[in-house]
Amino acid sequence: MRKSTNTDRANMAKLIPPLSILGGLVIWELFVKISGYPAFILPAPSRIAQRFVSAAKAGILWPNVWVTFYEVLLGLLIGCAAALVIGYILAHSPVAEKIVFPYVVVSQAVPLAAIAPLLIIWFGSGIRPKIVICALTVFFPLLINILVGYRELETNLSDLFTSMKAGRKARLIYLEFPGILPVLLGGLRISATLSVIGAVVGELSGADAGLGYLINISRGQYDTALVFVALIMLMVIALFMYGAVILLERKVLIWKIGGRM
Amino acid sequence: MENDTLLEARHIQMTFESKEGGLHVLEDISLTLAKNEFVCLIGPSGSGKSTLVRILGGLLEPTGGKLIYPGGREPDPRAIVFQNSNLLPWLSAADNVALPLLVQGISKKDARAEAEKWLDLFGLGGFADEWPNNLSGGMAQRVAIARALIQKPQLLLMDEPLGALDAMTREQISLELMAFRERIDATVLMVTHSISEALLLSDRILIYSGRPARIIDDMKVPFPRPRQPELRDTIEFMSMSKIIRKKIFGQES
Repeated sequence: MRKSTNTDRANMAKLIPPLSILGGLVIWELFVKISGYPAFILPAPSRIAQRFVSAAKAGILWPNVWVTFYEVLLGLLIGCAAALVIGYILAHSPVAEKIVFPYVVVSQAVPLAAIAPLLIIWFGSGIRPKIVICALTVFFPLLINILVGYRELETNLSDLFTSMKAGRKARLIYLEFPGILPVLLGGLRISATLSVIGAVVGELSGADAGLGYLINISRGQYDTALVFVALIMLMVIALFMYGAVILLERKVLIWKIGGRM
Repeated sequence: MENDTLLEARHIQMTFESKEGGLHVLEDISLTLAKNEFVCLIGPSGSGKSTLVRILGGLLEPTGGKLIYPGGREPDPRAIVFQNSNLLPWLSAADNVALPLLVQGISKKDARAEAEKWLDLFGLGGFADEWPNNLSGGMAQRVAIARALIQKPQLLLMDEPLGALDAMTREQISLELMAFRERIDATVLMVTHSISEALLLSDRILIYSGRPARIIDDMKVPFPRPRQPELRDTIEFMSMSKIIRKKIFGQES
């Protein structure tokens, strides 16, 4: 008897988050109805949903979603690869760390939104500068996580590899990469959503495609409902990226979770 | 006899630099290890025995004294069993055992087959695919010992390999080691706190004193090999362990 009330309670608890969102939407809808604000100031959720359907039908939604998604993903991959290579070099050479690290820190002190126009001057208004911005956005947090991962590798394990006379490659494959992976994936979780911000910042400073571009255009036409549609799609991309990293973690860190091979 | 020496440590000193000046961990340690000899190093904890193992294992350069290899060549491979099992948590038990072979570039298939053989020898055949996190302390340390033995080491260094285990597991593994001892050609130096472990396993016991760290006695273990566990119940065994205990505690003041 007691057990069943407990599971009932657990099921109820699972329902609370979606109900909370639903409640928020209802309040929003009612607020717009009662206050009578025009749609170009605050569109109701129902209006945003209609705009979503019409934009999708008109073919202006999915191509832009795809462009932004492509920038986010490619930027993340390039930034991650660069952080891995540079992290490896910095972790293995104190001299290189002394030479390179000031640049890394200084580059982080410059707000990315401020250098976005510069990148657009250099790389044009296509997707290339946006990929660069995404890569720059994710590079620093990933690099820091990689360096922390290296620092936390146990010296005992490193001694083991020394006693086995392991080469660089064997160390990288069996010790360093798997050893930093948990911290790297933690950084990737944050970076996956940061990358979306990078892409939008790039698109807002000059683009001919993407969700940032869509926001700029619809804002100019007071099509506020379409601005919201674009915002929601950005959220969806960010959540998708985040979820993908979580799935990857579950798969790759199975030894940590304790499951069978 | 001189030709049988694998390794000689002469007047080894080790000082770690710190802000308050040097920390003298080892002041003057000399010892020799003969080929295929099993030597136990016994003494109080916190007296630099692990540091000595790391020096003999080539992981640490001593600040004074030197290691001499009368054969002209450094013992190779040198395998080390650490105090904690030191398994890679992201590799299965079998892959941990296979690791030294994989590192040498031996194919995955061959390394894995060899590793499973060693796991079987330690009674861990059913745990090949288990993650280290799922293994008990005794199992993990057996895997670590198998990982050392698979290298067919010329010099095997063990730093209190059973120190972290409960008494029953400890005794069981020391009996397993006793059996293995007859099957491997390796010079073994094992650090231990257990007098009976040392007497059961070794040909020679070095008694170590802390602060200043030095070797105060070097005793041959008179029991013939192969040995049986029942040896521990004999009067000779008990009187030997009494003598050693006296030497260890006698020098403490």
